Amino acid sequence: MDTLIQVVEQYLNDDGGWSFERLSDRTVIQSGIKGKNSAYRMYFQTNEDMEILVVYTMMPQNIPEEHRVKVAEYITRANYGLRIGNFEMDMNDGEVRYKVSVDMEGGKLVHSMINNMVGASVSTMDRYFPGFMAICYAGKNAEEAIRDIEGSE
Amino acid sequence: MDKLISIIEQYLLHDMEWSFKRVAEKTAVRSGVRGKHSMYNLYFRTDEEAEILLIYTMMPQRVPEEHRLKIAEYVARANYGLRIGNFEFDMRDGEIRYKVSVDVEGGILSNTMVDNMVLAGMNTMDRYFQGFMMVCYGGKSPEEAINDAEERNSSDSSDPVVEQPNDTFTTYTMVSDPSINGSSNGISMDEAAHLQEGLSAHIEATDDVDEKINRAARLMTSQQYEQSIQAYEQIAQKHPDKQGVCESQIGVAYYFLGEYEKAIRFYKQALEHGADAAMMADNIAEAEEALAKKNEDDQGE
Repeated sequence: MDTLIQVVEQYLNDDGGWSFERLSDRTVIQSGIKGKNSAYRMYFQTNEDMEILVVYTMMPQNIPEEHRVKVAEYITRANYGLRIGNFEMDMNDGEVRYKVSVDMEGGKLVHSMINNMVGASVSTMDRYFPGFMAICYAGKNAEEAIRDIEGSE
Repeated sequence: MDKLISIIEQYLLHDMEWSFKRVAEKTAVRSGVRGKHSMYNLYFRTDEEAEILLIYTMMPQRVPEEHRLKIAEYVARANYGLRIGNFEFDMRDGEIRYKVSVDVEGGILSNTMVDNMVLAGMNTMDRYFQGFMMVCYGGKSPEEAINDAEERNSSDSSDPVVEQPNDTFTTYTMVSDPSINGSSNGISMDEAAHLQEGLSAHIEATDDVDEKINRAARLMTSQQYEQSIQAYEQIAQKHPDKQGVCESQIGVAYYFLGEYEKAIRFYKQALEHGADAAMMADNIAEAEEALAKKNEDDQGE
């Protein structure tokens, strides 16, 4: 059977016409994708022993220190109810990324699964991107920023 | 491929021999597990058309309103770096759950995949459980609580194969029916008492009804059902507006004690006092099922 990273590589070659690069001892692929609101770096990281694939979509900006607690609340509010994947933030340096992961032990990874992981990542990142900016640069609080994006449900 | 929900049922039935129940128009299955620190409800939810499976591990305790901002930060810190799944927190009602999901469109869902999803949910919930309690009741900051949780974990990580502390798996007791397995599973009474002591010291003298309810809930999760019932009865007396909530929880405690008729009676009372109708209907059905099974077993002997 192909390794997970090989399946990802085939997907990127066949489906996307992506440009990408293998990093770090051949278990990580770096690529990039453009959404409506920003362009994002993407990492496909695998643990072949555990048959785990993790797809990270990185926000280009880091959150300034003074806004991190507010953004932590924003992320927690955003994450609630998302079906596939979640936001995470490194409180130490303000890096924000979206994670979608799968443990494929005993199963089979196919291109449509990767395609859905990428699709969920980019669309969710792009949807919530303006809220991150509104908190950091427009003085919004987390609740307002979420309401602007999700509407008042 | 089988429907996702059928795969889940086969997994629960044959692999785990768990008891479970289908809810919500046959697209969700409910079950329960007991970790080291608490019991958790498990929900398996599927979207057959999109080929998505979601597994939620629910914390029984709710976070009181005044602690929700701190918990939001704790949750955000906990989520960073987890490989499989993430915590979700409903800021409106204080509910905490762990989500592991997969979109298997065009692929195959294996039993091992389901197993790993369940384990990731339980293990991670259990690892961060005490931190939630310490932020709410122990006066710790989210940062301190996270450091404790992640340090505690790395220091008792004994499996050399695992490269990240976040992936350490420990062995869990799976409960099919807590009233049968009793207190021989899960945390010992000593451990429970120890945990209670540290946490309840801070709220001994409280008049806050939410904290009283949480305290009663912790008695329940540490399997001190009779004490939990007493606590809820006291709350219901003093706070008539919480009567429905308390009666539904007393019902749950009786369910765990195997006294299903009493459980049903309290669920019905709770219903009259404003408890969530769908949830009560669910609980009543569950208790009736257990009662029928118990009667069957009694006859068999």
